Amino acid sequence: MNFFSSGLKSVLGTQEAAQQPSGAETVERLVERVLSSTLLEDRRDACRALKSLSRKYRVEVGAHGMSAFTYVLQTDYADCEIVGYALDALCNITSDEDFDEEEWQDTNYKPGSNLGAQFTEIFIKQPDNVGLVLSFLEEYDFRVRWPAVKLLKSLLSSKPKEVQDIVLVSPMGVSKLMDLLSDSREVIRNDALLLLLQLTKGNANIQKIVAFENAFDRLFDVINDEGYADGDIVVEDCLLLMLNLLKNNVSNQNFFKEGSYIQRLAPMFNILNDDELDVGLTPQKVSNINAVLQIIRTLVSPANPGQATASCQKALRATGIVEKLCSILMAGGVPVDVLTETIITVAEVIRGNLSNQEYFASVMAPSNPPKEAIVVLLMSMVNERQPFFLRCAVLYSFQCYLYRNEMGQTKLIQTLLPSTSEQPSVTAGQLLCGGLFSHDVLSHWLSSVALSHALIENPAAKESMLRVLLTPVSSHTPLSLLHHITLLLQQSNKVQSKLGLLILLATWLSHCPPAIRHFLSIDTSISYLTTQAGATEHDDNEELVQGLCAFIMGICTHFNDDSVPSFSKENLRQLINKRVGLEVFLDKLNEVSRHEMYSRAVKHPNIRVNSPNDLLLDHEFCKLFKALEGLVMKAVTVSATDLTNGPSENIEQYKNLIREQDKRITELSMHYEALHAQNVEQAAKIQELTDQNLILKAQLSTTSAASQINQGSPHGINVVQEKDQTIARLEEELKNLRLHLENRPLSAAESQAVDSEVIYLKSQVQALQQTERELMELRKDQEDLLELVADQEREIELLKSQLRVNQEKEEDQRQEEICPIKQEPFEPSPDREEKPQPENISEAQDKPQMISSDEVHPWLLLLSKEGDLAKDFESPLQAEYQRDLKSHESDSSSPAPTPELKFDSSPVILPPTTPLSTPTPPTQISGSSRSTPNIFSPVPLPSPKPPSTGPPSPGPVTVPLSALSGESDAPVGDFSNISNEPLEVTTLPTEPIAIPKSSAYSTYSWQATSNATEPVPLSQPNSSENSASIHSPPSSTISPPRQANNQECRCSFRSVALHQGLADSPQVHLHCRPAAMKVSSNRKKPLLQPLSPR
Amino acid sequence: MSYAYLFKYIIIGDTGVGKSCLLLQFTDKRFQPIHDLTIGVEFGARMITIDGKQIKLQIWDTAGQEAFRSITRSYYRGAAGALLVYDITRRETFEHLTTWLEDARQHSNSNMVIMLIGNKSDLESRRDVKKEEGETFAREHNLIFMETSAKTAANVEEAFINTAKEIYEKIQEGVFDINNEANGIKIGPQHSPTNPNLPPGSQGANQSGGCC
Ligand SMILES: Nc1nc2c(ncn2[C@@H]2O[C@H](COP(=O)(O)OP(=O)(O)OP(=O)(O)O)[C@@H](O)[C@H]2O)c(=O)[nH]1
Ligand SMILES: [Mg+2]
Repeated sequence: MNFFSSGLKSVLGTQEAAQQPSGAETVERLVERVLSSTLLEDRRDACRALKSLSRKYRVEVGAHGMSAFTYVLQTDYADCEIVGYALDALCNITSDEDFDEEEWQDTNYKPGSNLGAQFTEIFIKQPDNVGLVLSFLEEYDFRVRWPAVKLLKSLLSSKPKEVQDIVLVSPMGVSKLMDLLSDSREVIRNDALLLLLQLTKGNANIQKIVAFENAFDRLFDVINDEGYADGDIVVEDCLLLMLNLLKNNVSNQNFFKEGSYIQRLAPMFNILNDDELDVGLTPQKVSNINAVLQIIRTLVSPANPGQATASCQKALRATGIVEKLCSILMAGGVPVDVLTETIITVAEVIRGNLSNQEYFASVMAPSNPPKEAIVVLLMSMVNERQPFFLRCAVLYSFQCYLYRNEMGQTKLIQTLLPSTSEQPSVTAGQLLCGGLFSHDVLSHWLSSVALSHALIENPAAKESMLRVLLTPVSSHTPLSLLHHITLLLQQSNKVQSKLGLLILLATWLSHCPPAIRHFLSIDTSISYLTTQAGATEHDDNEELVQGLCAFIMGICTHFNDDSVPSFSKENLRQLINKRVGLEVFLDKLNEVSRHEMYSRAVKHPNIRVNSPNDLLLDHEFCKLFKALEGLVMKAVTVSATDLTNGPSENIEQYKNLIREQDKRITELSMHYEALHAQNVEQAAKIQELTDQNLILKAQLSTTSAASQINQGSPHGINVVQEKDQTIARLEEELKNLRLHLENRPLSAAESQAVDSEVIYLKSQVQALQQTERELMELRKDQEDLLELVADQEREIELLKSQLRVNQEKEEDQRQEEICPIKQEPFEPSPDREEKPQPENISEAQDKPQMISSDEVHPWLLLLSKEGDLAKDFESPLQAEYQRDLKSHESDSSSPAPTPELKFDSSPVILPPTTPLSTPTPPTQISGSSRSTPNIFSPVPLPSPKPPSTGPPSPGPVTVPLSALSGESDAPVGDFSNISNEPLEVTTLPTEPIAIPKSSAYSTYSWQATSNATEPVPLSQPNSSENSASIHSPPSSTISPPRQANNQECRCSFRSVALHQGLADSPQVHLHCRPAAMKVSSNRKKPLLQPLSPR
Repeated sequence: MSYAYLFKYIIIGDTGVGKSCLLLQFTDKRFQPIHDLTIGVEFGARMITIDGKQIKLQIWDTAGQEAFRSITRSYYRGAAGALLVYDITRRETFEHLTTWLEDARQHSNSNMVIMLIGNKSDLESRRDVKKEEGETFAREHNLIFMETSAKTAANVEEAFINTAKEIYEKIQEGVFDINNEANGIKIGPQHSPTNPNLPPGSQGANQSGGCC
């Protein structure tokens, strides 16, 4: 204020302080002085005074002073001082923040009314103004260059898009900004960085020019000067700017790769030295590393063109960055959010690139004995105490490892089959199977989906996984993995578990008749699906379960090779028609693709959910669903031999629906185009009007304020009303003027504006073209569908006539005998099993089935007879049939064992297939886990459910995860107290389950073992010394990524393992890293020392 | 990967004359029959050998449409070479050359090497501009000239390589200031004594690779 009044004095001369002029008056006088004074000195002083008033009297200075400032910039450009004042003042006026000292009472404006944006709009209305400011960037004088940078920043944050467009077309505009990065004055360089960050956001054209102007070189120079990952926030800004330049910009990504810039990222990863492992990374370093990870992910994003991603993946490998990333994965002391992000980055770096995938598989964790990194990661995926996002990241990395990696898929399944070579103590396959039987719902889902990725597009893998048998020890009937999955599905009451298992099933059965044969021969498999698909009510998300059940039924129909007589293609069709109803069936299918999570999952391979509850569908599964949906519908509807005209009505309905939709789409797209054009027009009009309105308002506010002061308020109101009228009149005039303008030829300036408009419209048109292309595709799809429908109709006709013939014959037969309704137990016939599958499955199966009367299966006969009676819903025959089915269901479900595995405190309880007494547990086993399950129930730890109550089930058998978990030194998961029982692999006779190649069956015997006598609640570590050095229980130690910048949240696989090991069992062995080794030998005191923050 | 020099090129000329096709033919040895209108600018790169030296060409293919003119102007200043392309089957693209040339001369550095290219030489039957006319125009304006076909790849390599040769010769003559990046020329990492490309200690630094 001092400065203000002295400035005023010098400008206005000494005035009696008696009558203090109002802010508005002062501003007006100063503005006039700037515009009219002939002396530079005078103008300079007035300008300085205006600058100092520009915060407090922002409205006044903005409304009156704008012209004065641009005048100064144009005429006094040689005087650095006055230019500096003008730029500073403009910067204040256009700022998007409100100032504390701003005086509002005399104006119509309230804080937060976005004055900055409005004044910015006025300022940039004259694009030359921005050019003028850009030209001042060339002035080296700090008094000019710095405020010019700040003003541009201010303009950009108030009106980003508009200012971007102006800078884009200003000659050399971007180059001038780029030169600032080499300014030796750090303030300017840093502000220029921020300015470029805003300038490049979302504008591909500017991004490309900035890259062309050697931005990457300059940024790497800065990063180098600042010390790479150890640098301060400037490094982060540089990296974020790079990210801006690369994100969704394939051209720049290509430039980045071709310019060998990827290798310049490598030093960023020299992040870990031993000191830091103990002390922890600074928050800034964490941010820097996260930014680099984002850059890498942008380069190899699955959304990029495949070729671009592939070449970046190659380059990342060649520059050693893949190795560095993997070593971060296995290092200790890495904050959990960095770790999570690193896992995702590694995932995308290896996705679909065989050489990188092989490298990933070869990475060993520094444990003793060394374990594969993949195994260590999976351990944490199936560990419910690890943070959710970390577990998802691990799943993603595993999926990416298997993506288009036949060898990896085969290798994984190999770990579940008997082998002559020695297997490591824990394998990926075992962990995942263990996950299926875990008590943790999330583990079910994650493991199921992970397993499904071992099967994708790999027929051989699907067949060899059929040979995997799992059995509780000394059980007489080892069950195949497929059988277990079917049982788990029926016993589970959690939507998430069911969905995981269904995803696995669908993936497995699709394109794999042998798997379908096996699946159909499992009792109750189909009746379960039928019940689900036919259900009319559902809770939240259960519609997905039902839809997936319908989908699997469809798969079983479409890929059916008719080798299970009771569930032949035709029989299944009948079943769907009768028990589910075609309409319901199709509805259920449609519900899947209509589900919100479906559209989310189908978009991106990465798992992008906010909470564990959203984890329902998997990207690859959605792709499969999309691909097979049509085939499934066709397979189910193709020969709906029902004689009522239901199906054809249905088809007619769908046809109509399709026609209607088609019409609507055309209508809507036309409508959209019209609206869009209208919108553009109106936006322009509104823009103009608001500008004018703003100016008028600003004028009004000052004048009315002034008049109120001078003449008292009642009169003031009159004045205001008068002004209002004037405004109305002016607006009218403006409208007329605009009309004139529209008819007038464009001036040069206007044509420039139009130019940029055209560019904008161009890109808009491109977007529209894109939508149009999509539309075309849609329409094509529809046409295909229509054709298909027509085909179907023809087929139906054919079949109908055949059926009529059949029926007549049946009539005759009925006289003689009544068909038995009975499902034959499935007897594997070796002949049929050996029969080679047709090479082209779809070709073989898409053929309409010609049914001659003597080929008709008893079921079919029944059903077609029933068709006659369909009108009579209560017909005794139908009732009998349904009763029969029901009894059949319950019959077959009764012997179903209820496997339950407890995963976390080591014993896995695989319940009742064998009597409890049979197995003698190994000697080191303490009795607890083998005894009745209720011993777990009072424990706060997640405990196993009591075995389900299948009727004649013998007592529970506890099966340890020994086979699954191996030794206790895992740095990741909580496997500390799991014993190291070797797997028992036996070769089983063909007898119980009909699977081809019987000699290759393998069996895992999971024996009950446990070191822990009693599970210990997590929240109460069992020794006080230990708990003292643990900062918090694991569940809270780990915060979700992004928030966990503080050191408190530091947590690694290792620390969690260590921690949990302590909680669960006193016998922890840690061999992961020297510090921890020390710990295990002298466990009492310094156990957690390396982990405690300093 | 390493190179002795890096040259930046731009490709300019009316829309539809085949600029993007020329680039694609040069970098990927492919021809794209559908006109995929360029929006703004697209980047491409390839390594060539001149005088036994590896030279990296970084090429910016610009949009020929009038609306993008102000954007593409930003690329003149930093380019060492320009391919100015017209379509021998469309006379108007030849007639616009003077405008293009003016624009280029105004915004580029004075040493920029400009190669005039009459493209689509495979469409002899539809020729609208005689080869002699192209030669004359080039001579008058001091340009190098060639007729090419992005479709058959005739002369495509030569067009890019001859431009590079010209730039290379200018460097040897000392015309170009190779230390000024704004000229569109960079010296390869191992060729410049002062290049701070690798940070000190980036190699030996503590990268214990997980054996901690
Ligand atoms: N026959 C023939 N056709 C060509 C040749 N070069 C390009 N074309 C065709 O000419 C059309 C336009 O080619 P583009 O390379 O996309 O044109 P452009 O100069 O990049 O156009 P803009 O991106 O709009 O500036 C395409 O349909 C090409 O197939 C050529 O040498 N011979
Ligand atoms: Mg093009």
